[in-house]
Amino acid sequence: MITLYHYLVLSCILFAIGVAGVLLRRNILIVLMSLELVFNSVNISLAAFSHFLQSMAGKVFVVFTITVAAAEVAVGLAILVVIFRQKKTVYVEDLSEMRH
Amino acid sequence: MPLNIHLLIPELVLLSFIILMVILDFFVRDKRQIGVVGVVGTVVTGLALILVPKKGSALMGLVIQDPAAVFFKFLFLIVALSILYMAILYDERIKHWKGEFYILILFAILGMMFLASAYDFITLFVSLELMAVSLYILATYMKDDTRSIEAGFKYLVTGALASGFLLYGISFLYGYTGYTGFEEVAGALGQGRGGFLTLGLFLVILGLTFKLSSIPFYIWAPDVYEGSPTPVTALIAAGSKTAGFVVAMRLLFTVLGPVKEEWIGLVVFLSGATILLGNLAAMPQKNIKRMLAYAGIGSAGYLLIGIAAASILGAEAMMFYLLTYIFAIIGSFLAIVIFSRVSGSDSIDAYIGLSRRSPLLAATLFIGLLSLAGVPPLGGFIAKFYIFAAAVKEGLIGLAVVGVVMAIVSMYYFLLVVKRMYLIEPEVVEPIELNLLTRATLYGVNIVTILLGIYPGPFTDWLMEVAKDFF
Amino acid sequence: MLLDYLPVLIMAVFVAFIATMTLFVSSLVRPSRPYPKKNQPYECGVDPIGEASTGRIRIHYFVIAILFIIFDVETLYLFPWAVVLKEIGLFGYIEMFIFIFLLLIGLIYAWVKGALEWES
Repeated sequence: MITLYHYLVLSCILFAIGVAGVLLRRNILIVLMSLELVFNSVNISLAAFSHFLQSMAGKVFVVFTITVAAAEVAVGLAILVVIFRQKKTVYVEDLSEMRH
Repeated sequence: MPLNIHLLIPELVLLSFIILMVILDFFVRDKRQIGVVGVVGTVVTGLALILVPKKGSALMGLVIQDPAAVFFKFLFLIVALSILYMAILYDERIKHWKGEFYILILFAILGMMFLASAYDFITLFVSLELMAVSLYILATYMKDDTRSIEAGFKYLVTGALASGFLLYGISFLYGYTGYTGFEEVAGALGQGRGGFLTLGLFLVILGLTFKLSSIPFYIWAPDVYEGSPTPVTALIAAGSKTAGFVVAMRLLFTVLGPVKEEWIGLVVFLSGATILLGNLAAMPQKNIKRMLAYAGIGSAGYLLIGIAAASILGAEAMMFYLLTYIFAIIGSFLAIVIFSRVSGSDSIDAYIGLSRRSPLLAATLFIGLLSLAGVPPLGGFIAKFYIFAAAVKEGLIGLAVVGVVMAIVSMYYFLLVVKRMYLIEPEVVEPIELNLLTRATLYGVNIVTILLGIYPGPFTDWLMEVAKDFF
Repeated sequence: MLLDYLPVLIMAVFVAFIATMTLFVSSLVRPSRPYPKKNQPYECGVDPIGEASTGRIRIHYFVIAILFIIFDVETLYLFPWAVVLKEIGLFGYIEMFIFIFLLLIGLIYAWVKGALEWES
C-alpha cells in the first residue's frame, strides 16, 4: 500500500538531491537542473497532500509552480547564455570577480 | 465570496500602462520617454489607489485590501517613482534594451503591490515570483559588464533556491491544514492532521529570509548590490526588502499568529545574528553599494526585532521603520546615481570632498546615511526607538541591547563616508551641476526624512491604527 | 499493493538484460575498424558541411527553445479551463481570452524584437 508518507519521503529525497546539486555542482547547467528538481519535488509533495486530503487547492498550486519554475529556469538559461558569451565558461567557480 | 474586481483597479491601471509601454517601445526612439510614460502610469495608479475602497477582499478571497495593504502599495509607488527617475538619469549607461528596463521595473512593482494584498499562498507565491523574476533580469541588465552578470546569476540561484524552501514549507503548511487561503489556514491551525507545522514554519521562514536579506540567505546581497545597475540596487534595497517584510508580517502575524510560540525563538535568533553580522561586516567595505548592502542586512535584523515582538507596537514600529528606511535609501541612492554619472565610480574614496563639489548632493547622502544609522533628529532614530520599545515591552531585553550597541557601531562606518565628504580636501574641485528637477527631488526626499524625525506624531498615530489589521 | 507492480519490475529487468546482452555479444563478434570517414556524423552519405560539423548548434535554437518552453507551459492553463468551461460560463470564457490576449502581446513582442528571425 502506497501511503502519503511514501510520497513525502520521495519528495524529501528529491528535494535534498536538488539542494545538494545547487550547492555542490560546478556546472551552471546542472545547477539549473537541480533547481528544477527542487521545484518538482515540491510538486510531488503538493500533489500527494492534495490527493490524500481530498482538496483541489494543491493541484491548482502545482500548475502555478510549474509555470513559475519554467519562467525562472528560462531566465536562468538566458543568463547562462550571457555568461558563456562573456566569459566562455559554464563553471560556477569562474564567477568570482567580486570578493570582499 | 464575490469577485470585487474594482478593488484591483490600481493594479489593473498599472498593468495597462505596462502593456502600453511595451507597445510604445516598438515605435519610440528615445527610450527615456517610455520612462516618462511609466512615471505618469505610477501617478495615475496612485490616484486610483486613493479612490478605491480601503477594505474588502477580491477574487474569491485570493487578495485582500486593508489599510495596511494600501499603505504598503503607496510606499511601493513612491519607490517606483524614484527608481524610474533614477533609471532615466542612468539611461546613458544602459547599452541594450533600454525600453524594457523601465517596463521590468514596473513589473517588479506590480508584483510587490500584489504581494501587499496577497491573502492566499498561491497569490503570494505567484506575485513573489513576478517580482523576483523581473529583478533577476534587471540585475543582469548590463550584459557587457561581467560583474552585473555575476550578480544576476548569484541572485537567481539563491533566489530560486529560497523560493524552493518557501514552497516546500508552504506545501507542509498546506498538508497540515488542508487549505491555501490565509483565513482558512489560520482557522485550521488548531485542529491539525499531522506534525508538519513546525517543519513547514521553519522552511517558510528560511525561504522568506532571502527577500529580507537576513541570515541564512543573505550571501547574495553584497555581490548583487555591487554588481547590479544602481537603480536596480536601489529597487532591491527599498522595494524587494519591504515586500519581503509585508509578506513576513502578513504570514507570521495574521496567519501563524496563533502558533507564535513555535516561531518566535527562531526569529529572535535570526534577528540577533543578522544585526551582528550586517553591522560588523559593513565596516571594512570600500565600495559604497557593498557597504549599503551590509547596512541593509543590519536593517533587516532590526526589522526582525519587530517581528519577534509580535505585537501591534512591533508591527507599527516595523511600518514606520520601513517608511523611513525607504526614504533614506532613495535619498542615498539618488545621490550615488547622480555622483557616479560624474565620477564613474562607486568606491567610497571617490566621495572625498563631495561637499565642496555639490553641497546638496553631500547633504542628501549625509542625511540618508545618518537616518539609516539612526541619528536624531532624523526619521531613522524614531524608527529604531519604536523598534526597541516594542522589543522591551515584549521582554526581549537582550535583543534590544544588541540592537542599541550595534546601532552605535553602525555610526562608525557611516561616518567614514561622511568624513570623506566633508573633512578631507578634494583633488578635484570642479562643481557638479544639478538641474532644477533633480534639486527639487533631493530637497523633497531630505525634507521627508527630517520631517519623519522631528514631527513623527501623525504618522505613528495613523500607523498604530493600520497595524491593528495584522492581528 | 506493491506486489502488483512486480510484473513491471520483472519486465524492466528482462528488457535491460536483453539489451545489454545484445550489445555485449555483438561487440565480441563484430570487427572494429574505425577510420575518420566512418566516425563522421551521418548526413545522408554526404560530407558534413556547415555548423553541425563542428558539434555546435546555433545559439538561436536556444532562444526558440526558451520561448517554446514559456508558451508551452502557459498552455497548461487551457486544459483545466476546457474541462470546467460549462460550469464557469461566460465570465470564464472571457477571462481566458484576456489571458490569451496577454500571451499574444508577449508573442508579438518577441516577434517585433526579432527573437523569431533566423538571420540576424
